Amino acid sequence: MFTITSSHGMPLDEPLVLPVSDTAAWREAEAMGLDLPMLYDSICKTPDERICEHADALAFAEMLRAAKLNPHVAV
Amino acid sequence: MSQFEKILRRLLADQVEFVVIGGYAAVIHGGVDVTRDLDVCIPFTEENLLKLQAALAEIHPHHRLTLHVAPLELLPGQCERWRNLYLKTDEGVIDCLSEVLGIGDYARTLARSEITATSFGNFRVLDIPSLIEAKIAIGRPHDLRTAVQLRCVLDAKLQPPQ
Repeated sequence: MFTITSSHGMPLDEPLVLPVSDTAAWREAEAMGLDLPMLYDSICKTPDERICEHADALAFAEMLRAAKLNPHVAV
Repeated sequence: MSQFEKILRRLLADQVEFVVIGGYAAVIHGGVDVTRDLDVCIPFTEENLLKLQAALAEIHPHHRLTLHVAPLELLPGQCERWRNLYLKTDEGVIDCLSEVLGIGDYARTLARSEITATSFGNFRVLDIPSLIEAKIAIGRPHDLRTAVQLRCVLDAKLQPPQ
């Protein structure tokens, strides 16, 4: 089991346990400030679900980008 | 349906040979970073390039790194000069590469790929260890970040929790 004590570089109020082995990769990922619960959720998904989720995230990122380029676009 | 899914469906329908590489391959394996382009490694044979052109014809592919808009216009007998195609289409960006940094040409990339099964078809994706190698070889900060994510994915698949 891997216990997360911080997320996005900030300490968590309560440690969170992920059902993965405590390895150097997970430790490095935590040190980089990656969102480990999100990464674990993604690992548990099927390729179809990941493709779908990525499409939603890309659409949102494009909307934010459009808003940045054109402040009249509502977000 | 996602824009990349639409493009992948077109490639599959026209039997284009390809291996998904890059950031989108990382997404398919479990990475969480968002990528704006679909990178594929393809054999740059005349037959495959003409299939690629036919597959993308309806979505108006054009070269995205040229100063002026230049449509993709491949002609039989004139395909051998291309090594990479950086294309923008109505359904998004697709970059077609003849080789992958850290891995090699299409044959090597194919040998280090695995079949991914999806609801819209099966296609090849560079396997996780090779994708990690490629990302480290490129070495930009976001590539290294993706490599760390992929190492976590690999660990989660190979090592049961203790």
